[in-house]
Amino acid sequence: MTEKTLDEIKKERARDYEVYPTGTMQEQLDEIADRREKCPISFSEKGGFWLATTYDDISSVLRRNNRGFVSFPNIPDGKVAFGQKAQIPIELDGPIHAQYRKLLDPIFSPARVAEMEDQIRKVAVELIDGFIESGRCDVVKQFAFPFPGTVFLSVMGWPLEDAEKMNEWVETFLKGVPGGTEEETMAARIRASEESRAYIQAIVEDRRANPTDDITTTIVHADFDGDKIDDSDLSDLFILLMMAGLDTVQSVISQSMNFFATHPEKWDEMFASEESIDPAIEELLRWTSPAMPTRNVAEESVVVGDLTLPKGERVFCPLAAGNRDPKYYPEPDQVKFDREAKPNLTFSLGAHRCVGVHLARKELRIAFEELRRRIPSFSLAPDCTPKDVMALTWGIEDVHIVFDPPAAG
Amino acid sequence: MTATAQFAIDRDYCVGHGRCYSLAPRAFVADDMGLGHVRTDSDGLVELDPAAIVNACPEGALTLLPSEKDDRS
Repeated sequence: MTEKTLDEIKKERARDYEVYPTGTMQEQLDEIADRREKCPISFSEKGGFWLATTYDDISSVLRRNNRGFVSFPNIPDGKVAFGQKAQIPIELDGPIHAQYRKLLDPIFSPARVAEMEDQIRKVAVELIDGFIESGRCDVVKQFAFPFPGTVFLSVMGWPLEDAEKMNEWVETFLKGVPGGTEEETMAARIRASEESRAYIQAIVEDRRANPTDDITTTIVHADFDGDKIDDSDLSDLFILLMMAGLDTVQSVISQSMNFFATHPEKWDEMFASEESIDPAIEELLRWTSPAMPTRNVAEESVVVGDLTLPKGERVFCPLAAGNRDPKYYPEPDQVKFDREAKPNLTFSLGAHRCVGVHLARKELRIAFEELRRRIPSFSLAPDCTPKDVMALTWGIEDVHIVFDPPAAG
Repeated sequence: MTATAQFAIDRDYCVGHGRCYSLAPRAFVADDMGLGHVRTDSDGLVELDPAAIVNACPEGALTLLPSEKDDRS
């Protein structure tokens, strides 16, 4: 009996995967579905990573953080996006990661998030006030993108008038200079990084000198075995918190509103009763699934599906692939609010389970409630061309809806 | 719909997704980290089918304990 070498297996299972695909999300999901059927764990020579496509394999890998896998670098081709330093806390592992989670999880606990409800609703209401009279909404720009960002500022205790500035930094980090050269994008990102860090540093110094009971103060004064978090790490952490909750929540809202704009019966079905709303949100979380983590083999060897992988191998785990696995979700590409409950992978699993899970669900519940209350009926504007965007997270842009403005008086 | 059920949560696997206490607050409660715990003050009634609650945990951390009337000793 001859055992195949890893290189032989890589050749056998070689199928390049485009990490930043063009085309539509459905086309990309169809490609993944084809892979799942033919070769559930394939190897992309381009980028040098394995691609897991089943719910079972993806969940098995993610659950084994610190038990065989680590999270740095959290990018399939291994090319760290903004320098070599691990993003905090998403690319940390082991005891230091646990310390950060012990700090952050209570701050974003269900009880703390429940206290944020009024603030969150206020942000949603005011954003809708901003466009409701016009009978038209650019969903991404006028609601989905500013909503989580402004909520973030609000719960962090940062000035709400800084929302536009912060959203611009986030856009630059995520998209660079659209249509620009690589140098222009790099320069813009460096500038955004310097500006955002200076902004955060000012806040950090203020809370150091003038502690309040807000989240920022809690983080600034955090104690890890006698050491405070240094300024550079604080800045990294705040930026990560800022970014992590923005594009993801934005994507779920935008993709959902684009879907409802052409499926009005589903918008009604979601709100058929008080009890139908949360299960509908879970189905939308499954279907929109923006995040795509990568894990790295950290032990001598680990088993993934039918493979044994040595230390150093990277496994890309697009959550959307697991969330569309027909093994657990028949007709996976359909939005069905009455599915047999199988927990979605949207917030990842294991030690890196999304810190913002309770905040995200609360934000989505409030966003959809307020949108439904003010816009019970809407359709897609005939002059927009929604376009799927597949970068480090997946989303959609150019979604415009039209509706009857509220009757006067 | 209510049923009687008792559960156990594996502390090694619970990471605080919160599905148990969100779906069945009669049986579960969150601690300040957001981790799930079986309520000690529970009346044993749950709002949903117990199997559905067990399946709702993304980490598979929940088990349904055998009910007392199954205990034929």
